[in-house]
Amino acid sequence: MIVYGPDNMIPARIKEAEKILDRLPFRHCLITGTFLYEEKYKDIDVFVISRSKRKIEAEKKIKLTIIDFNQLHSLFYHSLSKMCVAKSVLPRKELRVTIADYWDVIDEAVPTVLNEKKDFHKGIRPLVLYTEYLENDTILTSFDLRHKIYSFKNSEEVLSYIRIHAPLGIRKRAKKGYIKRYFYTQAGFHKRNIRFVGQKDLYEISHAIAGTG
Amino acid sequence: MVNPKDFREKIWEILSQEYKIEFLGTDFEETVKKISETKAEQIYHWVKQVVEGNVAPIMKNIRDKKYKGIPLNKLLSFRKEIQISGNEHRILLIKIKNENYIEFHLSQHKYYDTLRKDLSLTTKDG
Repeated sequence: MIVYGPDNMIPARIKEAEKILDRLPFRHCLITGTFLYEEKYKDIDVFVISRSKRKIEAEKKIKLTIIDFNQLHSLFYHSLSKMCVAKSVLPRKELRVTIADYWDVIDEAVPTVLNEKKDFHKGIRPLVLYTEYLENDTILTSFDLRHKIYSFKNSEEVLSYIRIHAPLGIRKRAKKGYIKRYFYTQAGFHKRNIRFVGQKDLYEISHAIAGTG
Repeated sequence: MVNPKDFREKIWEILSQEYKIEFLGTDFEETVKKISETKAEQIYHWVKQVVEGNVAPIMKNIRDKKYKGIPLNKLLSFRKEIQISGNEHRILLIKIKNENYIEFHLSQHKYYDTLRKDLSLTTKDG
């Protein structure tokens, strides 16, 4: 067993995690999430890296997710593998993050926070993960991400966070010409759909980003 | 517990359109049977909110990819998470811009994961 980023983990949970992983018939599998660092948890997040599409029966309380080998390039995988208990050394692939991926995340996060005004926290995980990486070069662990996400008190704070931090991260990572071209195109699309809830926010955000290019 | 036929008719009635929307999802009928009356009322209320324009849709600026022959930039997707019998489920109501609602999906994570790829939606986890 390999323990990645053990700093905030509860020692007894590490042992429990090892026992669970031992029972799974996979070479590459890991446990991450609140089970490792919170006294109270809802599910045990188990990830299996596999090409297999077969259905896996999981024990009660275990939420099992298959990670495809293509996902090893994702920010999501790089984040979860930073703090976890793994059965063996985890495979590593170069991180690939694009501005278009980030905009996709914002594009969905804005409707999510507007619709889920009280229960928006779970829905902004990728938003915060991408924003913190692009702006600060930081890949947040499950623990850091949870604390950051729950620091937002309401949906308006999330929208302000996007308005302030998205342009900074994008300006740092992309060329001016690309920013102008890509974000004026997005702004045009959202402007045409401005009568739908959330599209005005997306128009303003994309237009502001385009202006920084 | 809810009768699947009544559930479909009620939603169709709320949508107020002649076009027969498709109800899709793995074990759709069985899933609906597990929905409590209270939960069903919450779903009807949400559909009403969608129809009245109070729910923010997800819209993708993608012209060159199609879903069932329709370019993605012409689609509006309304997404809702609900718990049924203690399990997380997702509803996805799909509408063609300026036209009809075409599909109502209700299912668990694995089904949604395939559907969201067809619609170029990101995962909640990124």
